Amino acid sequence: MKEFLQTVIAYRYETAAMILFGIGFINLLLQKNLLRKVMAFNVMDSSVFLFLAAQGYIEGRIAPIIVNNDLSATTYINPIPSGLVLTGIVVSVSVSAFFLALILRLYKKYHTIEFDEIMTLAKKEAE
Amino acid sequence: MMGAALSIGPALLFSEVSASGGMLPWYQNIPFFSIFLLMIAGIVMPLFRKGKGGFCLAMGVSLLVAAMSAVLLVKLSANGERFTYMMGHYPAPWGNEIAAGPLEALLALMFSLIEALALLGGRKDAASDILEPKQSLFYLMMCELQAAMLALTYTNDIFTAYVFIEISTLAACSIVMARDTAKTIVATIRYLVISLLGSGLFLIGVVMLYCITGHLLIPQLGEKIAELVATGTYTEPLTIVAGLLFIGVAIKCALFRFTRGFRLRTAARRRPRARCFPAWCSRGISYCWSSSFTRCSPLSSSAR
Repeated sequence: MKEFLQTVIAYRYETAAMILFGIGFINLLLQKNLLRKVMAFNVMDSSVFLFLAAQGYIEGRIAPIIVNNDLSATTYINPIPSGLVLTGIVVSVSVSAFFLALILRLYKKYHTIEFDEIMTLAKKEAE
Repeated sequence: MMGAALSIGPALLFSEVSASGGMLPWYQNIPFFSIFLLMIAGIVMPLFRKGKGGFCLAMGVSLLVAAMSAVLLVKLSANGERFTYMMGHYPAPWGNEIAAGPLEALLALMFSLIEALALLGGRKDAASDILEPKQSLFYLMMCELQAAMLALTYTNDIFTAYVFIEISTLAACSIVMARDTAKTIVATIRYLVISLLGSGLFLIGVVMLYCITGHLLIPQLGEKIAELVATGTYTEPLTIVAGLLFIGVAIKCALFRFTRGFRLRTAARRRPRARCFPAWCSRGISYCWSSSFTRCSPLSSSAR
C-alpha cells in the first residue's frame, strides 16, 4: 500500500490526468445536457494536455527560452510536448466553438439544451 | 516496395533542393501541392457568391489533384520508390514531414475521384437543398475535407494525423448540417460527439506512444516498437496504447446510424448522398490508419 501511494505521489500529474480523462470521457458519453458535454470534452482534452506537459517537464530545469547565452540542453525542459500541447489546444478550441455554435442553433429552434428533449421534439416534428 | 530507393531531402516551396544539393525530382512536390491547392481553393471559395462558381472550382481542383495523384502513382509504381519530403527545410519535429509511396498515391487518387463523383452526383441536391449564399461554403468544406484526407494519407507524423482527423471531423460535420435544418443539426451533434470520443482515445494513445518511444514519426515509431517488442520492454503499456488507438479509430470509423430515432423519412434518408460524406470520411480515416499501420509495423521496419 505504501509503495502504491509513493508511486501515485511520484506520478501525481499523470494519475490526475488519467482520472480527469475518465471523468471527461464518461460525461461526454452519458451527459444529456449538451453544454455539459462540451465541458466534458474540454476536461477530457485538457487532461491529455496535462499528461503531455507532465511528461515534458523535468524537475529543476527551466522553460526552453535561452537565457545568459546558455545553449546546454541540460538547462531546459523538453520543448516538444509544449509545442504539441499548443497545437492540441488550438484544435480543442476550434471543436468547442463549433460545438457551441451547434448548441446555439438547436436552442433557438427547440428552446432547450437537453438532448433527450430535443430528440423527442425532433421525432414529433418528423411524424 | 519498401526496400526500394528511399530518397530523403529537404524542400522549400519554390527552390527544392535534395540533401545532396541537387534538385528534387519534380514529382516529389505533388503531395504537398495537392494539399496546398485544395487549401488555397478553400480560401478563395467564399469569393464566389453563387454555388455554380464554387462547384466549378471544387470540381476543377479535385480533378486536377486526381490527375496529379495519377501521375505520382505511375511514377512511383514504375520503380517502387518511396520518398520523404521535409517542409521548410526543418526535420521533424521542428518541421513537418510528408511521405509518399505507391499506396499513398493510390489512396490520394481514390479520394480525389470519390470527391469529384460526389460533387457531380450531389450537384442538383446541393443547389436545391442549400441556401444560395451558403452553397460556396458547402464547397469550401468539401475542399477542406479532401485536403484533410490527403494530409492524413501523406503525413509521416502521427500527431499531424490526429490534427487532420479533427479537421476532417469538423469539415464532415459542416457538410452533414449543410441543409441547415433542426434535424440535420441533431444528426451533426450525434456525429460530432461520437467522433470526439474516438479522437479523444486516439489522442491519449498517441501521447502515451510518444512517452514510451520518444518519437512521433511513423517509420521511427515502427522501428522503436519493433525494438521494444523484441526486448520485451513496455509490453503492457504498448498493448494498452494499441487498444486505445484501435478503439479510437474504430469509434471514428463506425458507420453508426446517426439518423437513428427518426422513424419517418428524415433529412438524411431523403438524400442518401448526404450520408455518403461522413461515410467517405470514416472509411478514408480507416484506410489511412491501415496505411500508417503498414508503415509502422515491425515487418515493414525489417524490410527497410
